[in-house]
Amino acid sequence: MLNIKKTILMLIAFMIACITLYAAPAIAHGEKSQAAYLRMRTLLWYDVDVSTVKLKVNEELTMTGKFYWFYDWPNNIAKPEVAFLNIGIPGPVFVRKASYINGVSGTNSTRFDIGETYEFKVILKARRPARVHMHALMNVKEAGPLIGPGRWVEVTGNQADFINEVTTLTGETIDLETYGLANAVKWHIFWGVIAAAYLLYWIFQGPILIPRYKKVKLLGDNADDMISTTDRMVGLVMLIGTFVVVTWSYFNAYKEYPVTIPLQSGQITIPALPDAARGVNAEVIDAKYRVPGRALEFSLKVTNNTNSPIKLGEYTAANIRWMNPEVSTAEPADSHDPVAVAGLTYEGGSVMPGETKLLKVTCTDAAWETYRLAKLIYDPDSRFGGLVFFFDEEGNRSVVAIGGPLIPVFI
Amino acid sequence: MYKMVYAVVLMMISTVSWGHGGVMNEGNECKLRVGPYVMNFSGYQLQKNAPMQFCDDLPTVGESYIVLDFVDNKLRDMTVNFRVIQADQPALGTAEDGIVIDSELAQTPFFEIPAKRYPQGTMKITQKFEKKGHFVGYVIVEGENEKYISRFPFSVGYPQAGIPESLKIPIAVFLVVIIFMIWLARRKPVELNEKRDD
Repeated sequence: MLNIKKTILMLIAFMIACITLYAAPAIAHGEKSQAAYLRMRTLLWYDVDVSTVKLKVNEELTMTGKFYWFYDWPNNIAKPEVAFLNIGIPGPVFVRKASYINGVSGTNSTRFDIGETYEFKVILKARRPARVHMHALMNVKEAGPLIGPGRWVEVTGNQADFINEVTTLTGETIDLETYGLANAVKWHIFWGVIAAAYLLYWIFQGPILIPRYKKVKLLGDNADDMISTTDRMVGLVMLIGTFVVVTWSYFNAYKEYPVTIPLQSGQITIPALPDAARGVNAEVIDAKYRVPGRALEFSLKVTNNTNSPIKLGEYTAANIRWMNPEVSTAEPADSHDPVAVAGLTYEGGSVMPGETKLLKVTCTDAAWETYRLAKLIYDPDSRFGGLVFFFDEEGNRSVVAIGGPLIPVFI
Repeated sequence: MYKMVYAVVLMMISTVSWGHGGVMNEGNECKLRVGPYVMNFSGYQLQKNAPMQFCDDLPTVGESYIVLDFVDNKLRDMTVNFRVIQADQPALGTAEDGIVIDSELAQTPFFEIPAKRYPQGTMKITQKFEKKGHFVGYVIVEGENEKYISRFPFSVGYPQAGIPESLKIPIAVFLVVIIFMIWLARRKPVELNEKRDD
């Protein structure tokens, strides 16, 4: 028995029930939603900056920075065997004109080495007016996006003025914003109409879904009788017609665009930057998180193999920076840039050349809670990570990765 | 039967948000709204209830910590005054809880943290509650040209009655499964509406 109306009504009721039950407010907060250990022990970004925070449509913006693949990579996260540098922006506000990793084009996916540092540059062209929070991000196969620091950027002007011209191999100048658009729309409509017609034909050929299943059970070995000669003929016409159209369109496209290159899907390996530690070693001896004080306290055994005394100026993890203003200063780039301008203090003073010294470091800020890093203490493997920046008297910087188990302290 | 299903659905929806005045439990975070700004509110009783974190009401008397973490960075440039006033009654659980009462602000507070800037964005309040009671908390933030006051009643020494928040959804899901199983067990077997002609 054909009962389309009842089936559709049941499906609508089911969908409404699902939406009603799952329509709770979103709890996630973008970059804060990823687990703390993931943000602290995978990809650590630093020196990230944008060339401008306000530009017009058609103007370019460059995002630069460095990233370090943390040495104590979590076992449950896929390693960066295949990764792609990207920029996270809500909507197509920009188009990417070029990207570079250590000066090598980042068009392809890349394999990275754990424990190494790379620098990047991405050139974007403003496409439409908007105020967006844009992030550098690295897409890692089977691990997902690893998000870098964000910056608020405002694009003004008119989208209608946007042009994205390139010169092809044959010397033709085209605007990628509109090139081939009409053709793509035409083919989508063509196949959409064909698919809809074929679907509708079968919907009106007797019972569907559960009633059809029941009828098939009822007819048993004779279930094929439900398909008439006309049905078979329609199917055959569709099959042959599809082959004909696809073959014709292939040869037509080849005739119209004889010079093409395949979409590039290769993978490259880029050598890492020289060791940013510059002869400074640092090892976490013990670490605790003081829950009501919002403070990470750790003992750091530091060996200075450089020729100049060094001081600790910064600790950074999960795109948050704790600064020691006596050594290094930084201000938040915008209202959502988490910089604890005086969040780092330590006991121990300078580490002299050739000396090994224990420093008692404290990193305090509300960001531990508001950026959900303190959730780390509830993990079955409560280990933290991050980068510490040492500075010598001439301002030379040594960047050292540190990490270790973290114990919560409630008193 | 349908009434039971409706009740379960309403139970699930009702866990989305609740609060006393300026303090709201939103999702899994306890928020204190002061004008346009937001702080995270965390209550601890480390000697008796560590590592539990409370949202406004503190279940037992004794040494207690309240930590306010500024979500909006602008609060770091403003002064924050925290004061607690003794009250005769618990929170009403209505919008009235959040209405600022001038006569309360004029009272001598039970305890007060004078206005001060917190550049690190976190304010820790330590207080020993000797006996149980009802209180009203006020958070007053003041910047160059702006001043906002948030009011939130809370109780100390009154353990929360009823189903804990964290168990509401699992219980609701469990009830739905039970109802569905009863429905499956009681319904008549499916009969085909067409018979094969032998």
